[in-house]
Amino acid sequence: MKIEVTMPKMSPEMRSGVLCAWLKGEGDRVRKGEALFEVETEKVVCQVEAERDGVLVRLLAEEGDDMPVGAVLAEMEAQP
Amino acid sequence: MVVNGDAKGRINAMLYIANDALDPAYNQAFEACAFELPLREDVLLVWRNRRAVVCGRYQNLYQETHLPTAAVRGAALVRRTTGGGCVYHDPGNVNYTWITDARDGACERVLACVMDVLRQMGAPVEPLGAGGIAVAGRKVSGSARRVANGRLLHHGTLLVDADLGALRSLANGHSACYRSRAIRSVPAPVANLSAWLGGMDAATLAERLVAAFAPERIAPDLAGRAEALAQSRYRAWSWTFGKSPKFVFERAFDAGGAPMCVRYAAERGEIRQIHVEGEGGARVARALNGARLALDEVRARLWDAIADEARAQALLENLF
Repeated sequence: MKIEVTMPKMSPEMRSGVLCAWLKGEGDRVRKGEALFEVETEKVVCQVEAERDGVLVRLLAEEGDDMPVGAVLAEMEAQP
Repeated sequence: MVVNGDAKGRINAMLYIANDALDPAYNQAFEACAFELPLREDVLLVWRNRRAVVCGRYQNLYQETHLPTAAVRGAALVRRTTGGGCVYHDPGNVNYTWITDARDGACERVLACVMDVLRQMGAPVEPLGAGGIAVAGRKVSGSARRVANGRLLHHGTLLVDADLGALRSLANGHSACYRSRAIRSVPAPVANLSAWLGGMDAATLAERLVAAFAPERIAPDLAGRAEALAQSRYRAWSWTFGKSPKFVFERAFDAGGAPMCVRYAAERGEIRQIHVEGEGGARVARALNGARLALDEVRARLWDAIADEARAQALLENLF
């Protein structure tokens, strides 16, 4: 099943965040709770973890992109 | 013991870990090791650095501080793991680190506690936005954060009796020559707290800050791990400089009476493509192509390529 990895809302005021670094690449197998990427907003660097086990299929945002909350950053093939 | 509650009434006890070191790379590593401790309580560190420029995790260090000036001023250059902008440290500046659970409002709660203590000491502080603290409209404190594994590391500076002349001189006057997608610093007029605290020095303020929170003192053995991490990460060129996002630099200047224009692209702290206009430009470009953007390496290559020392020095000053 395909699932979307989106820009999380890390504070009530947050509108967007800079996707600073991918910690996993296309084709990588990831486990729930493993760090996927880092986001910076309002002087906070936040490590964002995978919510499911799966394979990171496609990265849709580049490092340095300022992305609105909820924007799709990557596609994952979830594994049961 | 002071306990720090959140809006829902949950409370965390506070632990304090002393660290008297002044080594900027070691102190970043010490803080990182404290962040990794499997504790459920809040953790407080209060520490100082010898002179240093400390940039945010995703900043272009080259754009933030002028390398030749930092060398003359004897400032260590360090990259931290939190967000935000570049800050100046010296022993007149007190740093506090507050580790707590990453809940909504945790950062505001930490800032409110720190401001309360400063007010009790007599400084009429006010919030400045984006985690800053000001007195009479001038910034005396900046802060930045990192969230990982459900925990928040919030740290901030407190200018007490720091060398503000050095602080100003270490901001890169050539920052407009850089183009990149790096996180930028937001400059603000600054002031020392000392004048508002009856001439209090930084060491005294650090002691008073710890005493005000009355934490339980613990002494986990972090020194060995912190030294190893300082060596493998915070003193490593590949971290401090190599983690600067790719950028383009362009600058026209006068090199010993001759106009020159330098354009280069850099990635992972290395010059990938360079074009130099002006007398001997092609030779300079050949000499610098592929160079690691470290002061010693650039200087050695320039001094090999250019006989006239004054011109070589002018180029060195204008390449950063």
